[in-house]
Amino acid sequence: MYQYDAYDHKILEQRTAEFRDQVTRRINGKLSEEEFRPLRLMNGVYLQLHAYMIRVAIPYGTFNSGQLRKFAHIARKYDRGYGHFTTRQNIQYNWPKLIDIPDILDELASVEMHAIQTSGNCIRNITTDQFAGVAKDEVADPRPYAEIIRQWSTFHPEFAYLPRKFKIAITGAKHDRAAIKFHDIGLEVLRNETGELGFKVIVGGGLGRTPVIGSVIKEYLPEKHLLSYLEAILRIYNLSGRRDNKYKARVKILVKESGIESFRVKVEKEWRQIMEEGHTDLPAAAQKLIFNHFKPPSYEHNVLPALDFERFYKYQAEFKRWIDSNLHDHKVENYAAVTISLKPIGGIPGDISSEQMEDLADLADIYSLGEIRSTHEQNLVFPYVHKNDLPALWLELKSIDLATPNHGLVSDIIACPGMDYCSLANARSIPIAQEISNKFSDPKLAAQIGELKIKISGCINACAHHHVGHIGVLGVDKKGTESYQLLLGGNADENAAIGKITGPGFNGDQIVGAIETVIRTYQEIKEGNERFIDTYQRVGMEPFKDALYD
Amino acid sequence: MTKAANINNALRVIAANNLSDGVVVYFTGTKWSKNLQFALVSADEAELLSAAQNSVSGENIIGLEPVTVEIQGKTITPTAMREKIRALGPTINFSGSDNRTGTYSNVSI
Repeated sequence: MYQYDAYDHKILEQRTAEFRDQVTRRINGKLSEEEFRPLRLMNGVYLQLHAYMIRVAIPYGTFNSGQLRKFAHIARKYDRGYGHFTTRQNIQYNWPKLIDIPDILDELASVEMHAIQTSGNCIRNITTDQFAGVAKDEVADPRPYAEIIRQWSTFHPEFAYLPRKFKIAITGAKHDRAAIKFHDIGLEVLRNETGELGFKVIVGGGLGRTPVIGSVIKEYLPEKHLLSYLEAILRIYNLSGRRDNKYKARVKILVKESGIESFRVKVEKEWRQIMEEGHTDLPAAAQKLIFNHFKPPSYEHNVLPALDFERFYKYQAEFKRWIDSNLHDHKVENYAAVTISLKPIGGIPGDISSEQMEDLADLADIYSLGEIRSTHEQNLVFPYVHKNDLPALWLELKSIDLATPNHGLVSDIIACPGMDYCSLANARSIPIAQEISNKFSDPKLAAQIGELKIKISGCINACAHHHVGHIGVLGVDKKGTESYQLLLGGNADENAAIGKITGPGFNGDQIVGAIETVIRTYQEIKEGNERFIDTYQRVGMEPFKDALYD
Repeated sequence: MTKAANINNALRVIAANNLSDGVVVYFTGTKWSKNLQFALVSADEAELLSAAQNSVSGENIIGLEPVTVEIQGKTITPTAMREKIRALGPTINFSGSDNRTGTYSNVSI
């Protein structure tokens, strides 16, 4: 993974010193709240319902055991002993004191981490496939490109005050695990007919109050032109994106209003001009330096005395369930990527305690070459696990309550913090997720239901991606009380689809029952091994609507 | 303005946050308290807000906003769920390493 050079360390040191001074001046009254607010947001510090919240960037969801230990330390020393992994592969702390945040940033800087550009109208953390670099189905590892974009976009002076926030996702595989069609820019690494690497470029996707599936702006962009083309898109957006109405300021609105063809013409013209100027694309030598950080590991860690995998798989039902749901194909023989579910039955999606983080860091050193990934579905991944180590790893994870065998199943729910924490939310998300999780706690039932992605947002900003849940739930305010809209048929992968609302909403006491009805209906009408989304695509909304409202 | 015992409809308190730690506080009439039950309640929102704003100077209090409440017996209760949660804390509780649902259920779903 990428390691900071002297320049990276220097700019981070300067930035944290600058913010420490800003906090001191605010506390002393030398800065007003109006002056200070944008400064704290630029450093990832929000004021939420009960306290401040700091969002820490995890570039493309990759971090090491030392960084995880630091997350644990920060949670214990400055917060309430836990952290929350978000739907953008970051980690948030819900209870820090403003006066402690400069110290938190110093602690983060000591392990090459920060909170810069995790808020504000700038280019945010670049996200990618959690299996990047190890996925058997990928064309190429997308992380070096994500790192190139990260370096280009960090403190980019031209793009520090965009009309609105800007999110970029990249996948190296045809099967999209990064939801690239729902980002401001989505990139798919691919090869052209002559085998050369490049990108399919998608623009103008997004969720929020106006969900839009992104449009292809360029079917094939040669690899070497990545930055110049991104710069061209950002320039057109920066110049033409709306600044008069924040709800119409995202690039998706610009693309929608101008049409993809017109937008493409402008971008191509700008791109040609940038290339004539000839100073944006990364020189080959610099690119090589970055790629060197992402060379495949030696895979020479000490495989522990092996427990008998076959015996475990045959006789230990819980282990079998965990293997069947939480294991993923690896490009290296005898290795696997393992999802570590942060969705214990009845738990809070994405939350993890300091103790669990520390234990997990130790396990990552033993079983995963010290590396961990965070996923946009609020889970973690060990990317380098030898198959002989799986029984031992499972036993260790089980001992710290992190071996829930539910990846991709009914209780693997994405939920935003909702009204329990978020000042923007209209309704609670987490208690709904917990109730669904408890209702479907029987692992046999969950296995029968099969792949099902439930996503619950507490407001229209859609942080939990409810529009693209197979079952989506949107919390709304109905005269001061919580109400929930139910959506069906959304899909975040390469077969992107936006869910449709079933009909009138449900109150807090009804929504989980409504979801049960939807699942029961699916079980009654599914054919063969159809997944929920397959059945929905075959039969449409009507059978579900009939069951819900008759 | 009157204290809680003598008031009736469309009642308000003023909520805000401590600058240094972000904690939610309520205007008591002279200072700021973390306890909603010590809040000054009034039907005159403008006057209440003005008094609260005047008390902020040097107090490092930010984000003042009126909150609609009801008086039930001697208890001040916000009418909106959001403000109930703000006053009582999250309705869920991350309870450490076993990550199970907590018992803190002041606001039932």
